[in-house]
Amino acid sequence: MSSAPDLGRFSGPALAILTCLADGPKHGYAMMTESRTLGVELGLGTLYGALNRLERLGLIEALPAEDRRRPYRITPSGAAFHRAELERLDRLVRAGQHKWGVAS
Amino acid sequence: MTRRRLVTLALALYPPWWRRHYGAEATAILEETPPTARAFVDVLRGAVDAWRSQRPPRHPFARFGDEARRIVVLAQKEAHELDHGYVGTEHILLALLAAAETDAARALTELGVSPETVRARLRDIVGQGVPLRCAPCSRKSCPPDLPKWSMRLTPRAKRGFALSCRAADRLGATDVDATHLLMGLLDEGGGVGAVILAALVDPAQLRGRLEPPGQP
Repeated sequence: MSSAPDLGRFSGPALAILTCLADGPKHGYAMMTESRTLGVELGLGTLYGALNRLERLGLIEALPAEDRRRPYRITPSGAAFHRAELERLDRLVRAGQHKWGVAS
Repeated sequence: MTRRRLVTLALALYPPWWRRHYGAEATAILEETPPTARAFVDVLRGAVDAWRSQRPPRHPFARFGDEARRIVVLAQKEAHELDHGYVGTEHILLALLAAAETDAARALTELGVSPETVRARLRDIVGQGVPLRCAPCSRKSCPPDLPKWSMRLTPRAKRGFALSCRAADRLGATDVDATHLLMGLLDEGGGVGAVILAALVDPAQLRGRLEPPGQP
């Protein structure tokens, strides 16, 4: 895999954010709400820490603010990164399930 | 003091750029989420992280579309040909005219602005400058492939780019294009490019051609 950006302790939240954005632009509050339904609790500090890193890495980009809300959209390199991360996690999930005898 | 108010007050601990950039939205989010102890701790940890590891994400070309990016490259070329070691608003103006098929170039041409008239004014204002060394690479001649040539923008050019993003916002556009770049130059107002324009055309008339009728 090409040099994947290292997001440190923000890699989990970043993955949740990219998942939220995979089907269209969303603003921060919508991302918090959706990721909670996915089992990832994003606090405000964590959300913006991850958004800041993702935007600086060019994986997401800000759209013009509407009212007080700024929607973000995933960039082509963000989509490629997201797919690669999902594949990596999928291998991990399959290996784990295999070892516990869970059919997949 | 209510807990919600305490959590919202914690935003004051963030760096000033952070509050300008994210503050309004963060406040709106805190108003809509339960003010738990966990949320409060996350806001505090975020403040430490913002000071230590976050940076303003706005870099000059983040929102530039293909057209605007091409004009930036053309502006570099203009600066290079004039032996200027920087890219200023005057080079952006020349680049806007060089990309002749854009709405901005059409508006300028219709009002009688041409590369020749701009160059003539530029000679009056800046003079026939001493051939400068390219500041970033400090060699006499820069490599011909421009994108590799790192460029130094004047503060006014940077400000003009930032204002062109605002112009794009105002017109409801996602990407910055040539029209927004020209409006950024006009809004900045003090750069050599804007001064030359003001000498050649009525800025209000030019604005009128750039903004579709019915817009504020």
